[in-house]
Amino acid sequence: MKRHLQDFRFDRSEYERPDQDWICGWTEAGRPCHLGPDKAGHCRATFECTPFRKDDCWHCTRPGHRGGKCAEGPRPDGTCAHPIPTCQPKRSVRARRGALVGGAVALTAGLALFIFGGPYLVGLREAMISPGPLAAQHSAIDTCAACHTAAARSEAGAGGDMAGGAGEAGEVREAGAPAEAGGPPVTADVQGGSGPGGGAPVSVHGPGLEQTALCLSCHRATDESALQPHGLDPAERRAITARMDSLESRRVPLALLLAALGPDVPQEANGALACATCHEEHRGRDNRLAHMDNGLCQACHVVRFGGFSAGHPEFTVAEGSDDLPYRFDHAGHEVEYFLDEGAEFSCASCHTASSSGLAMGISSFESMCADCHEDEIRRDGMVVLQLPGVDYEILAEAGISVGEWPFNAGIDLDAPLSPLMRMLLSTDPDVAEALDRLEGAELSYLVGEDDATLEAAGRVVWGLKALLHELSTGGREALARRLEQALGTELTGVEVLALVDQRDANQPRSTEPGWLRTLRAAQEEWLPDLASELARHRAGRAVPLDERFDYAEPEAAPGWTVGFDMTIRYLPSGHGDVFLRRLAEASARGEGSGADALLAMLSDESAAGHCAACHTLAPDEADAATAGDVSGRFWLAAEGGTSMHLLTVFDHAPHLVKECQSCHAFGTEAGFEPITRDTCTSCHRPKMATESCLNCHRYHNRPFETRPARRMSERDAERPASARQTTGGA
Amino acid sequence: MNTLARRRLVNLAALFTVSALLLLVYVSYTLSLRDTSFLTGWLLLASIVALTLFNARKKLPFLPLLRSALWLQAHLYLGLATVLVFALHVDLRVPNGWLEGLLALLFAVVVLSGLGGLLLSRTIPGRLRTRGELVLFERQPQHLRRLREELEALALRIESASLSRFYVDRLIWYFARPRYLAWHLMQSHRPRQLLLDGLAGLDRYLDDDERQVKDEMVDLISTKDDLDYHYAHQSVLKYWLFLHIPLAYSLLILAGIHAVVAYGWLR
Repeated sequence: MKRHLQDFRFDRSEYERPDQDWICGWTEAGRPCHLGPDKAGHCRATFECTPFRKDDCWHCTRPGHRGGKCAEGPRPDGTCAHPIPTCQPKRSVRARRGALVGGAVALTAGLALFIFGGPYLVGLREAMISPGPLAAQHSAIDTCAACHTAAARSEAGAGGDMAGGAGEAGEVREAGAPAEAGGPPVTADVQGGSGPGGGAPVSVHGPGLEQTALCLSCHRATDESALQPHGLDPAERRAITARMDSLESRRVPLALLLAALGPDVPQEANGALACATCHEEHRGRDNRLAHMDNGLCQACHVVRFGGFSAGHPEFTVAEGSDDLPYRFDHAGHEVEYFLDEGAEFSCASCHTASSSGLAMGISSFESMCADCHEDEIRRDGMVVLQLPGVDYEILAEAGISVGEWPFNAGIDLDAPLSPLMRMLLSTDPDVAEALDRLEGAELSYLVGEDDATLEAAGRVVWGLKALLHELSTGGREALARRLEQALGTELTGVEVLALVDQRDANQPRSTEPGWLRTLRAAQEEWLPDLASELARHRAGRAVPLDERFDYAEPEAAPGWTVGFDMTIRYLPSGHGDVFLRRLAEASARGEGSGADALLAMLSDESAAGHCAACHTLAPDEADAATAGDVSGRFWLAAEGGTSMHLLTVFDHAPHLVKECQSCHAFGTEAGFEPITRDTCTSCHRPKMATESCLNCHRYHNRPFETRPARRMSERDAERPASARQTTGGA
Repeated sequence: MNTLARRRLVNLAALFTVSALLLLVYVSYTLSLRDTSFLTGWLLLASIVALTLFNARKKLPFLPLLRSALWLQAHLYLGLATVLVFALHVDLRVPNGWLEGLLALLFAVVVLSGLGGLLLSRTIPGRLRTRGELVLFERQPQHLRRLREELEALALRIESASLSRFYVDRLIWYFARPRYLAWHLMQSHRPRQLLLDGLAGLDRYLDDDERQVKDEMVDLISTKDDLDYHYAHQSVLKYWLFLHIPLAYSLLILAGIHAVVAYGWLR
């Protein structure tokens, strides 16, 4: 039989009030009194009923649900005969929950106030505030102030001015740091450049670049455009964007389409991007700071696509184009030389992966080419100085005497004045003007020329004599002066050593350079009265024609030769000849027609040394704009290059599992077939090799250079002592 | 379709729509290289404040602030949407800062306790209807006392030594307070069955009068067991909020501090 426990009739059960804070202490025992505690939790126990008097008799009033009228009835004095025992009231379930909430709130707020509100526990506070460990690259940073201006201001306020503009290279000088939110935008100048003390200052303007300015205090920005997208000058970026406009977006992911509905990329007014836009910190030691999602990479791009195998534009740089710093006819060598000789034409015999694996290096000239080409390089000398053939008889008939002149000069009548000689002569404005006037005429055949041309020819001859005299008497200084005037640029130290001194840096300067010894010997034989003739000519006195037939062969210094045709030639010592290298570099740096002509001469494959047979001796626009050092680029073939484009690299090492010619197929012309995207997408597609943009593209066109660690220690030294002692890990 | 099903359908559709819009905004901001942490952070803080207001609403029953049932529905579905906001705020990773880790832990406990409470409030009432008599939680001590008094009255009629020993050894302890709560929560009948088996084992030693006493004891034990079953389940319904609400307030305070710190260290 089931028992019935609960009645809800008013006369059989109490009215429950579970929302009251206190309940009777007898509740647990199952005997709560009907009065219950008051609001303050005090027991109000009295009696089970309050008797009432009727007809001089007291009557019990206990209700039915508490047992009804008692048998004893009230006492004679009118009090109830059943007193309620007192209790210790207890909190209700609801009140206990409320107390727990209050306790939790008080505990949380109290702990927060203690940790964040007072001057204590600074280390714990910083540890609590830090949103996570820094990446491994930044793990040496031990203070928030290194990257957060708010912390720097806080520390400065606490113990001194640590952010004051010291004005040193790399230090952030905040010109308008807001003292509070809503203040003026920050303007900071950060020393950039790669020199010991940094280069030109990089201006960091904008309210969103406070942190970026601090980033640049350690990471050197190399130019003013460092904070622009891709580090490109806005005009250059616009030009690239304009080119991209001709391409179509294909298979654009839904997410990117949705992104187009959102806000623009957060750029400052001048287009600059904060470092933190892409590089997220406080993501743990193993956080890859440089990682970018493919979708994020396309946030700014006008041409968007689903992936490398899904819509990526076709490659635009053809293999074997003129952009390469060297040229080598692979197909020709394989068919015409190696096959004929029965030798194996193997890529690996010349190309090996660099130590980084990024680039395919090229073996040395000695191991690859010397067997066939070393003699070729040494075979032909370069005419440095010469006595050209002069039609002195016609000049004499016109009343212009050239004095003594060797009969054999200019025996090769077809040989023009060598570019180097012409360049040196042109440093004299009068001779340069005469050379220009002679344009179209031949110095060795002046029959029928007008008087002005003949007069110009005479000036050229005497200018040439003056040059020889100046060089033979003035020596190194005269040549250096003439070369610098001719090239329109100052020679560097290594160029002076190679071109003027013709010695190694460890050889004494007292050694007479080979060109000077050879020149003096030749001048003694060819033009023995040069000094007196010049003196008479300059004094306006007549110098009779002296046709010289009899002279001995001058003795040439090693590396030089004196020809029967009155030429002084330089003989290249072999591959990498330092004289020819420096001459090419100096002429590339130089300005003016002389330098151009000299570089054009060296760029001829048949020129002495045959440098241009392999090396592309053509300065690009960047070299011209910056007067930069072209030495690395001219001779890059020996070092191997990795960059295919301003923002594109290719890591060869992981691809060497395939045959080289599976990507680099020989073309019908001298060079390779262009590499198409299909070549790569055979592997780089979903569920196979990765398709990350960062596989081939780099965001920064110029890397930021990290300053020496002393910057951090200096910064630390500037911090208040209290902050240094109490700061915990970042 | 009944009212409950229709209500759920409408609420789930609203939840899905809001979540889709949220994801749209998030993806749009993320792929625009925008910092979404402040957007999602403010959304999250506002959501937590709104969720906490449900507790405040219950303390203000006299104000015309819509029905509590509506507030509960809003609390449930906003809570689910808040989980998505939180996941977006932390970029689907476990935060590794102390304060952020503590916040994430608190949020997880509050959410899990809330989901647990939702599950309990959906399952326990059904269980209570299937067993014993529905009684008020606050009155259960009184019902237990009545059962105990009946048992004591019954004990005065015991003449058998074995039945007396069973009463002294096991029933006094069993009727002193609610017992075997964990077993009840696990829907186990084993405690009651052990007691009843113990009584059944005494049956051969009892005469007819004592068997009648024993049968009444069986009836009392069954009633007490059902009462304990209700007490266990109603306690769970009462006490899960002891975890959910205090931690929700702590979470709210720490979230406010987190917001201040985030803005303070923004630059």
